[in-house]
Amino acid sequence: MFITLLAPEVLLYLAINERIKAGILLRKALKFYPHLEKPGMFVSVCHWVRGRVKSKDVSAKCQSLVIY
Amino acid sequence: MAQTSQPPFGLVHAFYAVMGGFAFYGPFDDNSPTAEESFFQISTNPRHTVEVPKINTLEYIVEHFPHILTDIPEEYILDQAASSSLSKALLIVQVAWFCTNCASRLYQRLPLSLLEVTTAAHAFCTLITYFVWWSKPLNVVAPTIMREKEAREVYALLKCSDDEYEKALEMAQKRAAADPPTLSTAHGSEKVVLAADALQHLLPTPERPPHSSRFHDGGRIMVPGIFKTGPGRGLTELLSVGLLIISTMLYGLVHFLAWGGRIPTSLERLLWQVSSLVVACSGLAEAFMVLLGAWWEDTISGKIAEVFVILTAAVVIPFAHILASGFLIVESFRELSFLDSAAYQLPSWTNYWPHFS
Repeated sequence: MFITLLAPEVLLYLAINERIKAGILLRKALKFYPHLEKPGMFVSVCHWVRGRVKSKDVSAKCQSLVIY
Repeated sequence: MAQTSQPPFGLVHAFYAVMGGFAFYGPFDDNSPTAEESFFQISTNPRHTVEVPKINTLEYIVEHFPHILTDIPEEYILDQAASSSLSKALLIVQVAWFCTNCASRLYQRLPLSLLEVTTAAHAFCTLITYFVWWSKPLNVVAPTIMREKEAREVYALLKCSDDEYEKALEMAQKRAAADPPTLSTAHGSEKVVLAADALQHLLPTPERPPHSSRFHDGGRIMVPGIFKTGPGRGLTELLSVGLLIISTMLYGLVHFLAWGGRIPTSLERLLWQVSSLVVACSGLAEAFMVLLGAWWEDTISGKIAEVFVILTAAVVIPFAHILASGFLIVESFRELSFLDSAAYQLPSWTNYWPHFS
């Protein structure tokens, strides 16, 4: 809290440093285990829509538009 | 089972790991545990230690044993955090309103008070910090202790000395060859047995854990904050130096907005200008001294040069920076007594931006 009030530039420096370290760790994990990648927002939306389309709750009439 | 059933590893996990969110727990500092103590027992024994892996150890873990981190779901981590995306978004809207207000005052040629300039510098840094920390779980009070069997095996492996590692490797290789193990818990340390269990997953070519210190010193743990940054390696170190320059320059440059502003006396104006310059350039000077120190280390072995660099980088520049920052803050409050009427006028359109006031 004090750092934020008196020296926000120090907090900014620490934040970017930490983000870089987290990025390095994430990249390393995904390099060896690409299947662990968390889908982004757009891909998540696509998966959700595809899931809804194929679900039993949706009528066959609506599904046919996507299937064919 | 399909591979995709494993929980994903995202920025939340990475931030949580780097900030010291994952911790190991056990009595591995003591090589001779008593018979009644089980390594799988959840104990409150004061001899048991909680240790947080360093970044090099984390890299080793994500390369060889990622499941011990990803077994803890992202929802669990976010549930421990005290802030939500909504609170972050509200704060960003408020800070963005203030920044826009300052920009529109400049556009409409209304004077900016020194307090507004100082606040704008803080707001600007805060905005970038929030953006960078968007995925970071904030205000987590205690680390997550990994007590599962696999995590304890990895912890045992990381705590092994060179001799113990060789024994564990030998045991793992014999087990893999379906030979009856020559070392057992009765003859060897239980730590070695657990380490051998971990190494069995890495055969036939297991990689040794990093040789440098693998865990954070207990006194330096700053959960829920961040660890003190130690010296980096290669490109990381250069990036760190570059960031030091950029962050101080961003903060200092905003104060230049009041360079030609209405400051009560000419002495105060001069002091404001000098202080802004000192704050903006202190990161550059610090980086220069660090690089100079590294260069001198390679070329001159003189003690005087070393003392000069250390004194300047660790005492003179930080002291000058603190002094200049302190003056900027104090002066911005002092100037409030000398504001003219134009400082109280609001730019017309910012009232239409939703904000708290």
